[in-house]
Amino acid sequence: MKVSRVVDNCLWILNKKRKVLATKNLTPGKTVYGEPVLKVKNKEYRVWNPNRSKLGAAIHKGIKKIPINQGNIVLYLGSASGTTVSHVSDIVGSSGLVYCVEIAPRVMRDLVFLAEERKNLAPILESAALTKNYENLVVQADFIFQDIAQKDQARIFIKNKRFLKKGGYAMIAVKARSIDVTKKPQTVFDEVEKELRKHFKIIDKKRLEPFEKDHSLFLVKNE
Amino acid sequence: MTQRAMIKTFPFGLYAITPQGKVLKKKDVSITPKEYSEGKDKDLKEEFKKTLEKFEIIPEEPDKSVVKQKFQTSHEFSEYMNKFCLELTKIRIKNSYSKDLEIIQLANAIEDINNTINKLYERITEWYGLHYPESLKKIGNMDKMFKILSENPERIHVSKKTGSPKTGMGADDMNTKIIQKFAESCNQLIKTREEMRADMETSMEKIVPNLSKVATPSLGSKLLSIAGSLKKLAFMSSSTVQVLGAEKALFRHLRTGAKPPKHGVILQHPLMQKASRKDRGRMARALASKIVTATKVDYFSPDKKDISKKLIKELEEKLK
Repeated sequence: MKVSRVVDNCLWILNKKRKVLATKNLTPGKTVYGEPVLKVKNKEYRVWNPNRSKLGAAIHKGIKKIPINQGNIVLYLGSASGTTVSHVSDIVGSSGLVYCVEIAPRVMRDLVFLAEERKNLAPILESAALTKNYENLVVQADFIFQDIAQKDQARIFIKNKRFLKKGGYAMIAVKARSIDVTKKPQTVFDEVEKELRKHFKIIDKKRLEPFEKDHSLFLVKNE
Repeated sequence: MTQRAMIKTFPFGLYAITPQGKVLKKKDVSITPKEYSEGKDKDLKEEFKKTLEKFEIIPEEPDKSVVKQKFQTSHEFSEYMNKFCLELTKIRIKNSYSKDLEIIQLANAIEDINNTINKLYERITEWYGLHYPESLKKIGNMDKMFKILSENPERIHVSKKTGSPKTGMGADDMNTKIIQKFAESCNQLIKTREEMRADMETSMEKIVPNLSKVATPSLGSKLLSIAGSLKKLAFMSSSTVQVLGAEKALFRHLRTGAKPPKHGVILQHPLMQKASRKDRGRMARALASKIVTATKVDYFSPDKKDISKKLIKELEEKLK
């Protein structure tokens, strides 16, 4: 099996002539969403499905930098039931911490069960727009990831900038269809980019086709 | 010059730090997730603020340096945060559930049973029709069909009076038995649905009396189900409620400029059925606004004052 390192605890694995992305399982023996498991040097790796995770899709599309490493503190806005979160949790390992902010109690229920197994997840049932309500639980993050289907998702992202350390990176997955269905997705992305440029340095942007329709992911830096 | 201090609060302690990260003052506390969800941390922060009179307080920043004061390793901190947030989230999830969610489940369950029963009815007529197509016509409707087939299995042989069926192939004991069982389950399902309806109507009357009266219990519960919760419905505008359930047509209108929908599920309201086709758009607008008023009263007024009579009267006058 041919492997190459992406970031800490995350590998490209050549499996049956197909290149798959996989993260080292933090809880060996347990999978999260029915993903396949591969063994590399007796360590268990969980395959990262790009069709179910926007961060996974961005890595497949060759985004310039994946700014997460072991021991990092990550603020994850819009964690949903924890598919992508589980891979981020694998990467940061047990010395890292992932704050999972999610407003919907229904999906939070699934995330709570996940957090009981993974001791580096801190679930917070709160709207990502109301930073005041969780400021005394979070500490400065090395990396912020946002994936929420809100009309003002860019504004919410900028609001959360205060939790990002100087020189830290952040990613936002923009869903054009939840900002304005009547506009062309590219127009929406351009508007978001203009807005982000006022507060961040934009490092890279990637359209997520064919994994996600009408989505774009921006990688920005807090300078 | 007074020194500038920033207060950083954690469930495990309160810190006053300079903008450079030097700790000026600290207070160890230990707030439990339950106390935190009740807002005890805010009281402690106010108390702590009073001891800092000589400093100029600046807005809180998510400073990380103080974490090292309390925890030896980042691993320990992660585990502490995991445990605390987990407990807190469990409490918050529990508190987020309200009685209106029960109504939504009931309404959705009734809808599901309706769909299922229609399918099962289709199946049972096909099956039974294989044996005695003549008696299908005699029985006619769904409720009767399930009732007769489950309670009085001899009726399955209804056309035996005239000897063997002319077009069907006739049923033996085994067929009769299993068809009877099938019909019994359908009948049971119908009974459960009626019980659910009664339950739903009682809860609607108790939790959203005005909505229940203005919009009828079945339509009211459907609106709640589409909106997601009573709170969400109460915060909706009348124009949104008017087209709830017609999302496909609405977004087609927004995207392509096709004609906008006049109404969504509120078409099921008896007053809408009474209105002439020409008046339906106008009626939908008026009805939606009254439904919104009723919902807002149900959500915001603590004693849920009954204003439904007035609203219905105004609506009926409009229809004249």
